[in-house]
Amino acid sequence: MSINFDNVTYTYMPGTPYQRTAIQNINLVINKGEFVGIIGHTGSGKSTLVQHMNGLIVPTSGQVTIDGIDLKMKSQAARQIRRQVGMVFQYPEHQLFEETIYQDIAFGPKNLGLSEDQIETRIKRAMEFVGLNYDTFKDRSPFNLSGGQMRRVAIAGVIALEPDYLALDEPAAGLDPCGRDEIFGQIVQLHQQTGITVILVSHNMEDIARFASRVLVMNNGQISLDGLPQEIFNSGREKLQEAGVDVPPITALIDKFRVRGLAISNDVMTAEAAAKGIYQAVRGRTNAH
Amino acid sequence: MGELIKIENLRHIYPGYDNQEVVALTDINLTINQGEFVAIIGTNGSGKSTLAKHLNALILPTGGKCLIAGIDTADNEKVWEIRQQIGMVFQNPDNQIVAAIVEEDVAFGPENLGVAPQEIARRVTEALALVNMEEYRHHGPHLLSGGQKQRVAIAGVLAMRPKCLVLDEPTAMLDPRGRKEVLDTVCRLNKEGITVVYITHFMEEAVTAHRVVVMEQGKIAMEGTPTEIFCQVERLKTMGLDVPVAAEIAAYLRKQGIQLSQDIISDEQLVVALCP
Repeated sequence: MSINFDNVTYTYMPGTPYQRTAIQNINLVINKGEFVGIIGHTGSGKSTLVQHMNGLIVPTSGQVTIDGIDLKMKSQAARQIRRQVGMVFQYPEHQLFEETIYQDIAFGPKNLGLSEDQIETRIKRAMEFVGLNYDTFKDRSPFNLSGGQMRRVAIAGVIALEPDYLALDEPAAGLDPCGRDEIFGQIVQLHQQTGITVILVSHNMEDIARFASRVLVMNNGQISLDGLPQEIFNSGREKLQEAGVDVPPITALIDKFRVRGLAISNDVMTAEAAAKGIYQAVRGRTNAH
Repeated sequence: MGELIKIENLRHIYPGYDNQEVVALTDINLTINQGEFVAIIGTNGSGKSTLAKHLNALILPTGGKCLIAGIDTADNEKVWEIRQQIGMVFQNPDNQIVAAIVEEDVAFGPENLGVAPQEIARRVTEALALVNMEEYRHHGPHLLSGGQKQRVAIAGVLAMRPKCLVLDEPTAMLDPRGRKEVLDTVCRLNKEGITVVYITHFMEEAVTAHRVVVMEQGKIAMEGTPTEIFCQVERLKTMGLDVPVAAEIAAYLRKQGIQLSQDIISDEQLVVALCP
C-alpha cells in the first residue's frame, strides 16, 4: 500500500514559449502510515508534485500509482483510489461555499453517495476532530467565522471524506502560533489514531522538523534530499543551502554555539530539548574547569 | 519627528452572528511618530487588522478618534488626502495587482490621483528602484515570485508618495527567501524616512522594529521596545504568542540558575553571553 512515482516528469504549457518543466524524473515511494514533510522554495516543484498524488494533474511522462492502480486511467478503480487522497490546499477557507457549516462539510461525503445518517456521523466526527463543537457551529454560516475557524471547517470537509492519504499544502499559513499548534496537533493526532498517511508541504522548517518522520527537499523540480529530519538538517546542509532552504531556527542557534566551541547534540528539534542540551553543555563546561 | 498617527480611545464594533455585536477594538490609545517602525503582533482575532484598516479610513471608528497628520479619518471630504499619506499592503500579493505589466501596476495609484504623465513615469522609476525591481519593469506580474509581487505592491504604494506604509502580514504567504526580500525592503525604506506599521505573526520580523505593540482581545496589552516585550516569555506564551528561540532558551536557563541578563532576545546575544 503506497503512493509510487515512477520516473515522473511534468511540463507546463508544452510547445509554447512559456514551456517549463516543473518536475523531472521523480522516483518516489511513500508508504502507508508515513508522515512526510516536503520543503523547497517557491517554484521548486512541491505543489506540482503533490497535485499528482490524486490525479489533479497527470504526468507528461512516467506513471503515478496508488496501491498499484495507475491514476491516469479512467476506470472505476482509478476514480475510487483518487478519492482516497484528501487534499487541503493553501488557504482552503477560500473554497468554502455553502450556507451552513454542516452543508459545507457534507458536500464531499454526499458526493461519495453516503446515506444521510452516515454523513451526519462523519460530520460529527470531523468537526470534533478539528475542535469545533457540533451543536454550536453546525447551523452557522462558515463566512461569519474567524480565519482560524474557517480553516478548520475547510479541513473538516476533507477529513469527512475519510481518506487514506492526506496531503496538506501550507495548512498553517497566516495562522497565529496558537492556531498553528492546534492544527498541527490535530493532524499529528489523526496520524497516530488512524494511521493515515500525511504529506505536509511547508516553508516552515520548524514545523517540518517537529512533525515529519521523513523529509523531502525539492530543488529545480527534483528531489535533492530524502531522509530523516535529523539527517537532513545536520548532514544535508550544503544541499539545503543550494535548494534555498533554511535550517530550522533551533539548528541555526546550535550551530552558532558550535562555532564558539560549545558542543550540543545534533538531534534536538524542539526549543525545550535545545534548552536542556545547552544547559548540560554549559554545566559540563563549568564542572570541567 | 512629529506625530503622524494619533489614535484616541478608539472603539470599533462589527455586527456579528445573530445580530450580536462584536467588539473588535476598545480603548485603543496609540501615537506613532514620523519615521518610526512599529510592529503589531497578536493572535488571530485580536484586532490587529481592524486597527490597520482604521489608519487609512477603510473603516471608521464606532467611538473615539483616529487622526492622521491631524486629519480626522471620519472627515469624509479628506479621505483621499489620508489614503495618499497612508499606503496599505496586504497579505495576498495576487489580490493587489491590477495591471498586466509591472510598470502599469505601479502607475495605477498616481494615475488615480491625477498626477501628470511625465511625473508618473518618474515616480514609477523611482518606486521600482526603491524596491529593487527596475529590471522587471516590463514583465507580467503573474510570472514573478511571491516576494517579487509583494515588492511590486509596495512600489505601487510608494508611487503615491505616502508618509507611512501599513503592511498587514505581508510575508504570510511567502517562502523564507521572499520573506527576507520583503522585510529587507521595508527596513531600508524606513531608514530612508518612511514611517512603517508592520503587522506580523513572525516574531523574528517584529524584533527588527523600534517598537512592538501587542494586541489581545481588541486591546493593546503591551507596548515597548522589542527587548522589553520579548523578554516577557511567560506572558507572551500565555497569550498564545511565540517568542524568539533565544529568548525562550534564555528564560529556561535562568530558571535553572544560570546567570543571564534579562535583555537577551537574539541568537547572537545568547551565544555571546554563554560563550564570551
